[in-house]
Formats: sequence, structure tokens, C-alpha cells
Amino acid sequence: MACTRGSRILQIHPTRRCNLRCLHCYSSSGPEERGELPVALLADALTDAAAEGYTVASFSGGEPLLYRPLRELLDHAHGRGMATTVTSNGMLLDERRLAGLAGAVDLLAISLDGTPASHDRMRADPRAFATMASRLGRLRDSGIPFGFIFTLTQHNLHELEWVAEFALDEGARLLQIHPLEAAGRAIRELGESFPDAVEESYAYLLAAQLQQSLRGRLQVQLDLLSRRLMADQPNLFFAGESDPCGSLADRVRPLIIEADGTVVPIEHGFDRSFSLGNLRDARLCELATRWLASGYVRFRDLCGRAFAAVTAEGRPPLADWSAALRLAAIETLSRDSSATCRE
Amino acid sequence: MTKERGSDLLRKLHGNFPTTHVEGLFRAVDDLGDLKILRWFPRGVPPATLVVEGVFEVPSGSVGKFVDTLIQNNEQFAANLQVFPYGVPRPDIAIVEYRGEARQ
Repeated sequence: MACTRGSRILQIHPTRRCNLRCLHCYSSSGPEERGELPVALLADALTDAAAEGYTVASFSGGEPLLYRPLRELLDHAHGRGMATTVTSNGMLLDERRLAGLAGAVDLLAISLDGTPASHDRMRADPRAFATMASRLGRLRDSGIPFGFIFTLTQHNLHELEWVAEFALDEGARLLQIHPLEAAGRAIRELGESFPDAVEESYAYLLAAQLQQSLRGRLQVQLDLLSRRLMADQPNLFFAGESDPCGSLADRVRPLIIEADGTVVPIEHGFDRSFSLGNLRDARLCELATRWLASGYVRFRDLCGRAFAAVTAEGRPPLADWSAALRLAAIETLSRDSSATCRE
Repeated sequence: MTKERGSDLLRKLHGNFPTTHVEGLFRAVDDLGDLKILRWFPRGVPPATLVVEGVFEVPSGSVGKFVDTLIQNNEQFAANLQVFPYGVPRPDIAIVEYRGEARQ
């Protein structure tokens, strides 16, 4: 798989409103959610993020197609030189919405969790697969590049080949495999389904096989890291020497804007004690300045400890960086709490 | 949802597993006494590169070591240097598309 070190991603969750209530949803989104971020606030954030060196604006949710000003933000990102991606469940891709995306989104990623029965089970909707699949013809005709994101669990690796065939038949350009993470609704609904190191290793082998056999036709991306390659590249994980003159994008990426306006490093749901602050209180450029002067040192310390743990001898060959950071954050909070008690 | 491992179900479907470049694969196999090759055959994908499709039995206890050896021997193969958080697709495709448009 190609090196993707150049991606400087700002991920935006404009709303947690969604037409589905998926079992594995990392943001616990659903139809009952109503709040959304003002478009002017997010436009300012995109302007600031571009100035800070971010090159990709990636919209997720909730279902981002339910956010009415999405087109405005996509155009705004393009106008600032950023590439745009949108992650959707694909069920709402009707003619009107496709027209609203054409020319504004560079890659549309659609969630696909296995065969139709498995997909519907994970999506908690018996019409999820059929509705999504019925939209793909028009999507293909629209010319918008698209791909699928498959969530790997402990129990569904055998469906990956079916998913790859489906993606190929439908004209997708990308098949991305993302291991189920202990985040959001998945913690409650799928507690025994997180893939272990053995299952992840088998997923690596199958992904490698697919990558080889589908070369030139479909890009296959597995969201796991080689521990060996990580060990040689500490700066990519903010665990090497810090660059005191670097931009915000040099120092932390991805950067995430959650649906309540909170800005966190790395991923949605990252421990709030490491957040840059909230866009409702100050613009991103101001939050960045304050954070680099104060909270950044603590974030670097966290990354350094997580990196050391992941790359230690004897660890599994594939690393889940997000999980390592979550664990290190828990340890940090516990340590901070103990220190407070001692005082 | 079934409680069986996906990899066990995959093995039942095919009775086989991975494919990789021949050199890295054979080094990996050499390092693992408990990995049994059931059959293998050369395949021309892509034509310029000799690829061997191997069919293996990899005991669950050895699969991690097998992967580690593959990575060690063939670092550019299916190995990432960046992982994307939930909901973020690999953006390289988008960036290529975007740059393509920008040049027009």
C-alpha cells in the first residue's frame, strides 16, 4: 500500500443526526439527534485549517447528507485548496443530493459491512443494503469517485471477498478495511466483536491478497499499522523530536471537529482533556495558538508513551494506533488523578 | 451475529490463505517450521512481477509471526504509514482527482 504520510486531514462532524442507528457507530449518532454546527462557524474553521496546513476536509457524522449547508462547506474547502471527502451510509443519495455533491466532493466513501444480511444487521435496518445499493447506479453515472469502507469485526472476515467483488462490480475505486474500535455505540452493542491480533493478522493477509489481485482496478486499504514500519518513523506519530516552528498540521493530524464544536486530535471521541477547545468559544486559529502553548506538551507525552508501548519488542506485528492512544490516555488520566489526590 | 471467527469461516469457505511475493513468502516459510504449503503456482499479476499464489495452513498461534516475517521481508507490501480514523476514507484518491482537475 502506498505511503500516505502527506495527508493532512481535518475531519468535520457537522451533526450527529442520522437516518440510521448503526450498532458500531463511533459517534452514537441517530435519528433523535437534532443539533448541528452553524455553517459560518465551520467555514471559518476551514479557512483557519487551510492556513494551518491541512489539505483534506473530510465530512462524516451523523449522516453528512442530512446537513443542508454541506455543499457550501465543500465549495468553501475547495476554494481554500483543500481536497474533500464525504463518508455516508449511501441511503440518501437521491438525484437532488447527488446534484448537490457533483463537482464538490472528490471522494465519497460509503459504509458497507458485509453481505446484505450482515449489513442490515449492523445498520439495524432491514432496508439498509437494498436502499444503498439502489443508489449506486446514479452515483456511478454522476462521475463522483467513490469507495466503500468495511468495518472488520471478529466475525466477518469471510465476507471481505464478497465485499471486494461487490465494490469492483459497482465501479468503486477504494475498498477500505477499518477494524471495529471500542468507541461510541459499539462498546455497548458489540462488546465481543472487536477483532483480536490473530484476526487482524488474517485480515492483513487477505487484504494483501486482494491488493495484489485487484491492483489497478481497486485500491485496498487496511487501517492497521506495521509495528516495524512505525518504529522507524516516530515523527509520523508525534513521538520523535518536536518541530518548534511547524504549523498546527505539522504537529497534529488528523484534527477532528466534533458535532458540539469541540476540536480534538487524532479521532472522534478522543479524550476531552486533550482537546484544543470549542469553536463556539474561539476560532480555530486562536484555539491552536493556545493549545500549542499549553496542552501540546501533554499530547506529545501521550503519543510518546503510546508509541513506546506499541513498538516494544514482543508486541503483535500490526498496531492499532488509536487503541494504543486511548489506553495511554486512560493511564494519563489515572496518573493525573492520583497526583491530584496526593496533593 | 455468529460467534465464530471470520478467519475460521473463511478457511471453511476456501480451505486456503494468503498470496504474496515469492521471495518474501519463501523466507517467511523458511522461518516457520509449522507452516505447511499445500500447493502453490506462479501467476502473472502484474505481468512484470512474478507472483506466487500460495495456499497455506497457518496455525492461529503462528499467524502473527507469519505476518511479522512478511513485513520484515517485504516492507512495501500492504504496510501502512498512516492510519485513518473512523469515518475518514483514504484520501489519496481524492487528492489525485483534485489535482487532476486543478491542472485543467
